[in-house]
Amino acid sequence: MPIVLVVDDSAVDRRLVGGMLGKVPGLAVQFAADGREALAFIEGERPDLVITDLVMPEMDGLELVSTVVDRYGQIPIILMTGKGSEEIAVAALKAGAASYVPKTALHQFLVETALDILAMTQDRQSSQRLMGCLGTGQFTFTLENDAELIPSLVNYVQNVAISVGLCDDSDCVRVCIALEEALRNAMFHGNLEISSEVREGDPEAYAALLAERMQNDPWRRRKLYVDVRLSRQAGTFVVRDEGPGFDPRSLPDPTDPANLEKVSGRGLLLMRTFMDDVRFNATGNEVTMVKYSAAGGAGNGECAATPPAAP
Amino acid sequence: MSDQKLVRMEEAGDALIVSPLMAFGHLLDPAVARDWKQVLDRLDDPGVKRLVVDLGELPYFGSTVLDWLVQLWNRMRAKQGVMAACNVSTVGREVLSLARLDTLWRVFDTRKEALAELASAVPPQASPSQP
Repeated sequence: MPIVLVVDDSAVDRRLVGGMLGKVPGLAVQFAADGREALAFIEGERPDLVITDLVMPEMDGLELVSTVVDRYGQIPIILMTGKGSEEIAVAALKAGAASYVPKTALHQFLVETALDILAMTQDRQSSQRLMGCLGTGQFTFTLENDAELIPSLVNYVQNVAISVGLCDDSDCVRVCIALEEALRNAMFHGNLEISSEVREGDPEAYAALLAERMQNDPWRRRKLYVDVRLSRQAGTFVVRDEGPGFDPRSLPDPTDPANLEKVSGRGLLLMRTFMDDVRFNATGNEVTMVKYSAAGGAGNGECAATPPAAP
Repeated sequence: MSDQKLVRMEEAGDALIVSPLMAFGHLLDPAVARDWKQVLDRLDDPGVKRLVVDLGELPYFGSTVLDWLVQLWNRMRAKQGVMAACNVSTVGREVLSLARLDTLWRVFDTRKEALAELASAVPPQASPSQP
């Protein structure tokens, strides 16, 4: 049964809100008189939703929102706002509150808003639990030379990598930096054949050259092929472009003191540092990167064991 | 075409504070290219002798931002100016260190520390553009 915690220093208002929510079948309503009391309850009971007044002694609603978001990011909070507190309500929403209801309109909106937020939270938690049971993620992308797709692809890979248990949040950031470097190299240096020297020149001339190449053959027709396989044990990333390729051995060491002030040439360094294995094909237009799990593939206790891979 | 500003520029005495607002990739968008050019043009102002790059808006970054930082460094160095970075995330510090760029400029926890350090690094000089 979902637990809703109502936080208000006014006993009258607690009774009012408790009365409205108490009529909803299947909801357990609990109360706290200020932010500190609320935090003590949340620590012990982990409610499914917190509904709080904004102005309270000890710890006010804004401080409560910040603390709950920081410590218990999954618990949504609805603010009850009085007249003249709109600016604080905006600040609370920015701090992570899920919604707010004016105190003057509690009868019209409070129950509806609470049920909507509870339903959304339940959906999100179910999705997260399901993704936590994902054993292997394998996908292939074929991209045009559209740089806006790179962050989206990287974010998608990051979410799946975390879900399968390949890496924790901070390690996955490093993996994603390496993947992003590979994608950018393939798109800009590979398919569009933009040299580092051009990038170091006039920004507007560089933008103009990029725009021109994206509209003309042969650069326009070239695609980017990305194969990703993610499991709890390892992540394998293959990025191939249709450019002429290059010899990675020809790149200077960017950490050599003589090269430190050169503007470009650090992408491969980041790829090699953040991945466990980086290999190019003979023509240099395909890179395969592998990241092994530091945790050795610990599983999610809630899910069935991943079956062994077929021979 | 994007309306989003690439960077924020602020003045603090004779120091310029540049804050990248997104881990921009390549300067494809003409508006982004214009923003970037404005930063470079501002650095060409002889009155700007100290530069603080505040990386607090970027949770992490890769070689594109490194390239951009080196460009700023080269501009400042060419005019005998000084540069520092601040508010760098843990991964950001790691990336700077890997590339050994933290040997070119110093990295501070806060903007205040960076400004204080740069103020003592170069004695204030009279500049025609500063009252």
